[in-house]
Amino acid sequence: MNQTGRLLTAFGTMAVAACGGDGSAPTVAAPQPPAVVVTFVSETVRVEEGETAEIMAQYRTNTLSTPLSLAVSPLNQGAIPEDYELSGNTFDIPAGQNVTGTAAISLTALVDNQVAEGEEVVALRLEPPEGVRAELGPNLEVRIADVGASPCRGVQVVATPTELIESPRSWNGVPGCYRSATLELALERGAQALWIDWEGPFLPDGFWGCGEEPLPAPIINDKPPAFNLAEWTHASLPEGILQTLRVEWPEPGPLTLRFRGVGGACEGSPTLTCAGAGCELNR
Amino acid sequence: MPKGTLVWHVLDDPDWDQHFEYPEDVLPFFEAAAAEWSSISTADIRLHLGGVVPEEHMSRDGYNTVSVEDDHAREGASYARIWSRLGEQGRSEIFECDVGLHPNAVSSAGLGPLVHELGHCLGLAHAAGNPALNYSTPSAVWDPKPVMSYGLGRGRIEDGLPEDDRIGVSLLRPAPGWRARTGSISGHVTLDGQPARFAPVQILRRENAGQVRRAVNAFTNEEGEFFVEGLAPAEYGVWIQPTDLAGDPHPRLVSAGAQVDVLDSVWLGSPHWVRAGAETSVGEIPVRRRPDSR
Repeated sequence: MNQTGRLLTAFGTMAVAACGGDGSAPTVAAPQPPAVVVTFVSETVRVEEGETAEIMAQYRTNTLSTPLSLAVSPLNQGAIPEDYELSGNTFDIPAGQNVTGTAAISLTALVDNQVAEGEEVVALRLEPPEGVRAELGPNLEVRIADVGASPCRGVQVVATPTELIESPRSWNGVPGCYRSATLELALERGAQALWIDWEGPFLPDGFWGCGEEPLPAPIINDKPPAFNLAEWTHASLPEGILQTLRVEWPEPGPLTLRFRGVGGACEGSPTLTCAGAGCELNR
Repeated sequence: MPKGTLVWHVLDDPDWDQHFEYPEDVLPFFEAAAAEWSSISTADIRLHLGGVVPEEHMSRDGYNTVSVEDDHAREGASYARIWSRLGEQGRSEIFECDVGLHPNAVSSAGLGPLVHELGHCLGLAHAAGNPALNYSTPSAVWDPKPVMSYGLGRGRIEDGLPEDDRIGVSLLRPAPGWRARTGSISGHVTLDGQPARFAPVQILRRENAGQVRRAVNAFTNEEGEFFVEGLAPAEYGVWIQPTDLAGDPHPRLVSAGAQVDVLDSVWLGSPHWVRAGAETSVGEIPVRRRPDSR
């Protein structure tokens, strides 16, 4: 091969090398930095029912030519809209270069009438703004903690999910399906006198047997109360006392307890009802 | 019944041969039942089986007897027939108690029926039943059921008699010094502003581990008042329940106007301290009527 051929070959090689060696399109230029970067300060927040959490978002502008309004939206992951209230979830970011700041969003966990203890989750998402190149951080997970319900002043009640009892139960030889729940009642020291009235179920309400074909209810003349207090413990705590009761009752129930106090401590004499879906407090 | 050792005799009844070869073979059965009462350390009780006597010693001759009776009006029922007379101070005194056991009570029901009837002979009436249902499974709160109550499990006695039976008989026949170590709890139950008559009252004790268990049950009187003695110093709570008509263990109370249509009501506030030699008053307890009548 003459000298020119070698040079052409070399250029060709260089040209091939300049194309990445496979003949594809030229590489694009490096991406431009975002106009603004926004993230939540925390990754997760826990808030109890009845309380408000302040959730902080932080931002940093690179080159934001005009002020920006950024929204935060909820993604329910177990929680429902009635579980919380959001405020301040739209905030402004000023224009400018290298401007930093924070914004506060409030989430209030609303008190419901469910007495089960547990958590519901709502994720907060930074919404991409239109027309602005923004780098947004990951969603924030907010865990709303159920703490039961308060039937009376100074009293808090929490219940486990109700569950069917696997081992057989019977009343005077009549088999039936029974359900149980454990109730925890925390009474603050100095809480007023507290009574509960057992308002149901009574025999022979409900069906007997646990299969698809319920058994006919037994004939019972005087309709005695149909529940069993299987266990009861009482613990003294620095802040008061804790009563734990495990109760059983025949399906479909519901088990109904009414709270009574003195001096208006139990306004409206609320009832606690427990059935397959769980326990709830009603006023 | 009189103080001192109480003696029973076995009636020479041919009905015994359903269960024993000779009437004398009843002795271990009676001694075991008697021991349930005489072993109570807080009571002064001595029961003894004296031997076999002819059938004509059935009643009212001063011989306490135990026999097998299968012709009682209520099928399956045993009984204690109590004979009393006016004593020197004008008070009714029991001078004889004859126990008739249904055959089933001898063969399959354990010691419970005989222990129960001997309890009547010692002066005990029927205890209130458990609140709500007598489930076939145990309750750490209400079990064991008093032997003087009706209901499931009465035939089985484990680890001695329940506290309600022991305190009841100890109040009638106290061991020396026992009463001074106990206290009492009292209260007044009302329904719609009126006395709740003959309502069962359960006194529950908070034990050291925090477990709440029934200690004693009693009934309110005509004025809706209750007074429960013989309680060991401890923390107690109160549970008011309607008279249980199932099985009808208290027909006289029902006839006299016992409350049968109130809701079970239980105290959940701070427990009440009972101290030796003192009465603890829990004050007025208003209960509510059931929305529907029984």
